[in-house]
Amino acid sequence: MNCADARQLMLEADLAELSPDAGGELGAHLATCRACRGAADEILSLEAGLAGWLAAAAPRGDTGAALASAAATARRRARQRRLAGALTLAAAAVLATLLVLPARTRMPGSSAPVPAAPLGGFSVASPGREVMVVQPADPRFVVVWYLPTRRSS
Amino acid sequence: MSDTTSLEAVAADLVPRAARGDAEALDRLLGRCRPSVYRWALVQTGDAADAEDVAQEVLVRLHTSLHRFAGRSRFTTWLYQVTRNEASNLRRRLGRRLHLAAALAREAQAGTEARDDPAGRVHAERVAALAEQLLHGLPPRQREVFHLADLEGCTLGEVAERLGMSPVTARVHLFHARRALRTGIVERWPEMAAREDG
Repeated sequence: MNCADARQLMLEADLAELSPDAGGELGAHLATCRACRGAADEILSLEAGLAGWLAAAAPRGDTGAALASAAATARRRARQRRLAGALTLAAAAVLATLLVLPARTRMPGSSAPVPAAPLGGFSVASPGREVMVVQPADPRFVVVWYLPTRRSS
Repeated sequence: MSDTTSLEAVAADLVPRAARGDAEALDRLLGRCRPSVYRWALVQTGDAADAEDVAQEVLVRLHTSLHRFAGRSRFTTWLYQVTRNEASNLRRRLGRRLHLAAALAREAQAGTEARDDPAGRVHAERVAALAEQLLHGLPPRQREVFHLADLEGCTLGEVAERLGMSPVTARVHLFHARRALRTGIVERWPEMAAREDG
């Protein structure tokens, strides 16, 4: 193996192969060629330095304070989710009431109460969105209600 | 023992307890996860401040979503995915491309200048330049694979599992990443190439 071939192999070799003791053709070349061994050592040294640099990287600030802040944020978001859920249910109840009540009233000029049509409601889960479709008493209308969705991790 | 292996061992004990509501176990788990998540986020975002934001958001996620970790994969694999998602969310929120850890490079140089050690400074400058090349120059997939395989010491199987790709694909990315970085090393320091006397 000549130096040019060795340099090509060194560009892709595992770190363990960049040693004269690794065996194989590259190892044998490194054992006899000072220039290529110097290049291999340089690669090993820089990649080890890079690993050390990254290992030493640490977040600033006190861990205790970061954990307390995260816990407080998590509690606040949980409260907001519960509130949003309650508001959604309340709004759904109000809407359903508004839709059902007219069906129980009398039609103009008629003495007989209009029977309440069964309220057909079903939900459709689509990617990224929840939809509720409500069929009121009057078949000419359909109410489509987009509901807020929760983000998943 | 690599950082990932160490974290996995700690998590094996703490995650079930934390998921059952043990507050002390949750605090210990989060405290142990924070530096690892920060480093992963640093590689993802290339910016120390952004990495801090991502790490903090992941801690919140661990508070709210740890119960969703079903144990079907390694905890570190799941946590890495959560970190990647948060880094991706942050990039979307900021509406900008990955920007570089110039500040980190400056910090590395400043640290050695303070030591007044010329040889150490030269080495640190090279490391900082390589870090810049890693964080900025490589495509995201290559950067992730190189980081996990060569800097964190994960096997190719672990890298593939964590990144949701086949081991063969991971190896291809690793080859490309090494080639780009090592070519950069030779190009930046031509004295290496000039030493061809063997």
